[in-house]
Amino acid sequence: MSAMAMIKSRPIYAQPRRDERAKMHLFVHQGTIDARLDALYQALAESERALCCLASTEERSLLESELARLPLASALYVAGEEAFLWDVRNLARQQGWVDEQIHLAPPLQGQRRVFCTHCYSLMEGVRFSPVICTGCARPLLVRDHFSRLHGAYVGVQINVEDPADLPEEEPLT
Amino acid sequence: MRIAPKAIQTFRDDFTYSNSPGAIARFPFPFPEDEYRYSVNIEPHLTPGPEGSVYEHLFDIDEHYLSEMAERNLVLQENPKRCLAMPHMDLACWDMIERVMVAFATDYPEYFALTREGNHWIWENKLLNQRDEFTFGDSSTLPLPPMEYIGRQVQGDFALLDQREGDLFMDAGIVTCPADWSLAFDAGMSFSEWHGPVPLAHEMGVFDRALKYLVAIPVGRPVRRLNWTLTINARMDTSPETYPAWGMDRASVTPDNVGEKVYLRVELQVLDRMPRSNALMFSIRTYLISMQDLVTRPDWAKRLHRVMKTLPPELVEYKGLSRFHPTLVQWLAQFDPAN
Amino acid sequence: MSHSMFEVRVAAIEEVAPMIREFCFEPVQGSLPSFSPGSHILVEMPARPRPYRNAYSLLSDPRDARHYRIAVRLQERSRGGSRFMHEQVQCGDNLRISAPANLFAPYWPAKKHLLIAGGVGITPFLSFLPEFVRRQQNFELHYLFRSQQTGAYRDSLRQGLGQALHLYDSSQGQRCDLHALLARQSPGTHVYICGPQSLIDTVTFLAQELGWPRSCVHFETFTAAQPGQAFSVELARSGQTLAVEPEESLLEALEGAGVDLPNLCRGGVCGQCVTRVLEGAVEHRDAFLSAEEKSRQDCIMPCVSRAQGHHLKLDL
Repeated sequence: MSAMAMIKSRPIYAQPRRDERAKMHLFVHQGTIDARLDALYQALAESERALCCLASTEERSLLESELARLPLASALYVAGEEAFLWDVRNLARQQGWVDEQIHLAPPLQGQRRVFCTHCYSLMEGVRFSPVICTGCARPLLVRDHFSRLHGAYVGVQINVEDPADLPEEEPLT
Repeated sequence: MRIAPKAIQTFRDDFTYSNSPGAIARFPFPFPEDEYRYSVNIEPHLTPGPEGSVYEHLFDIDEHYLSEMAERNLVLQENPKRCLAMPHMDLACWDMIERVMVAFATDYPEYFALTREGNHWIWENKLLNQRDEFTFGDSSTLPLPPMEYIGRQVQGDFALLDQREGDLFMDAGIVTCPADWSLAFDAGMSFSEWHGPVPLAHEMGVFDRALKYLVAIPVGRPVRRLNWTLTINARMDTSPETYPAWGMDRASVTPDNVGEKVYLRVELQVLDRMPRSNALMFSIRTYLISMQDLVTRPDWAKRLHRVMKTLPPELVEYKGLSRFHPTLVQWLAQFDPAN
Repeated sequence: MSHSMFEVRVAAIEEVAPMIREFCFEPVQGSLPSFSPGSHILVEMPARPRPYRNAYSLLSDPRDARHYRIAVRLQERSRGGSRFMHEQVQCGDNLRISAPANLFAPYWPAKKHLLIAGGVGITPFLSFLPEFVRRQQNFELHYLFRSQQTGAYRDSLRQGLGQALHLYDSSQGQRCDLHALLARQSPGTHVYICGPQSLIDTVTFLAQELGWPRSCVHFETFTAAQPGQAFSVELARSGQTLAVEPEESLLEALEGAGVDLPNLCRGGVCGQCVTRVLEGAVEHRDAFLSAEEKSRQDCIMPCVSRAQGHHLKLDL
């Protein structure tokens, strides 16, 4: 949809390459290791790399101690679901890291965290639009407007102007 | 002659809001040309502007003051999160308190008074029948958090933009009458991010140029611009949060009720550097006028017809006008001799 | 912009180092605007045949705007401004200044602020420090100077900062090991440099060598316009032609002819004076335009940039 493609707050991801400026490289994965990032990891000497596998950012104390331990001249590579990427990025920024040091790998397409603009509920792993809000039960159109702070896309009730207008579920990209 | 604030009218339910002839005469009609175009339409907000105009003072107080403060109270009662301030914005909130209070006491001495002895301040708001003593800079001495405290006394929405890394961030605000944007969702966004949904302008480089200009605004040299959209009924709170309560109004426009149902909504946006925090204050003062009041000015009626007729489809969609735009254009045609 | 300049009175002048004088300004009427740490003002000096306008950092505590204080180092190769301040300005004189603008604010989310000052470059940091103390920020000040010429405010800094202050007097052979200093910093440290261009260049070079992220390095880039070759400038709208002398900037030449452009920094940073070029090649000396904008050769920052050849035609 052309109108959606124009929304500039939606992040554009590129496959991370080695950060040539950095002296130390920290890799953070959600669950299993991403093959392409693993190749980057394997190409580094053992003295200049560190790895952190997390199921979610619930295990934040482990990550926080890694982020605080590393030298200033470090780079961070993150792979996982999109919401996970931004949670890790926000955690790193709280520890004083800057965006220039943080490289987010392209996430799995078609899974979004959604922020309900009516009741402020967050829904994880949303695959289809419209989605029924778990907080207020409204059918939400998932838009491409993205918040880095929430790591989420905005959802707005779809059939307000015409209650009969409830389109078929469409997979998110 | 300034218009004295009148008794409370409503922006919801029975919609008793109305404009006096004086308010119509000073309405900030936003279209300088027959065709609407995006531009970086920013100009210095030099005060005093023309006497009695909305540009006369830094903040414009008009006959709707009490109504808008009552409406703001209703919105905040329903959803306190319509006002937020991140902890690092405390000093910027105090900058705003000083700017509003000093300007109000100077520009509207019949309604507001400020006494300052060092950091001990006494503030009187005679319109809201309020008198407060507090220590400037000490948020614990105010009855409310600083952003909510001052925001409940001034017409229009406010955002305080933190400036860092050559960019502006939406880190505090009180937003109860927005044209369809959510402070809770947009919180913390950079300038280009919160304008993400706006079509066309990014490609034209409008936001890059505007940002370079805005980060260089010095203390005491505010700038302003007008923005506009259309609203059905005199509803101030057209937020995404409450969209389920007002979205269906867009389907209620008929050729017979355009004059009373459709309102031109104009935002007088002012950007002003906050001296202590280096934040930028973004005030969005909203004016509403019904089509039937607007067409009492033949020049406005004719111009609005031409603007609506030539509005790019992307903008019709983005501004949420699709359902009633053709009906409106047809109705306005009667005021344009070229048709 | 000239219309926003206002008058202040020189309330005190003090020699704070052999080559540095401090000027304290008080309002002629009303009060002075508050300001944020890192702010500067423009000071207009009523010289003949044309006034000088220089930018100076405010060095007083930002929470106390009863006075403004600036420090002026006498420049050996002064185009006239610093010499005028040192030799002509007397206590009780009135001068015109601009409202404060800030192009060098602290990055508040930093975990630690590492300040490196060279000589009179201490001035913007003097407005950072009281605010750092109030906000309980983690910081260090490394102050490099030559006590025969500069090194102002050492005593008051020693009293106020204690362990956070590190002094290096090159007149006594004391050197700062900048490499070691940068190498031992942890994530979240931001470095700020103010001083001679050579100091800025050294620290930015070392930071790059050590792998610091660029955005953790901050410096005050604006410096006064440097002289160049004389050239002529044609104003397309008014039809005037002006001569720009080697010692004056294009902006000053325009102002001398009554053409007032908006400006804040007069040092190629703020972007306010950008002007369209219709003919002629530009020697860009500013830090505002992007490389791409510079290569287009269709605009100029008249505060610092000049003609490459002998002629420019401007859309003025």
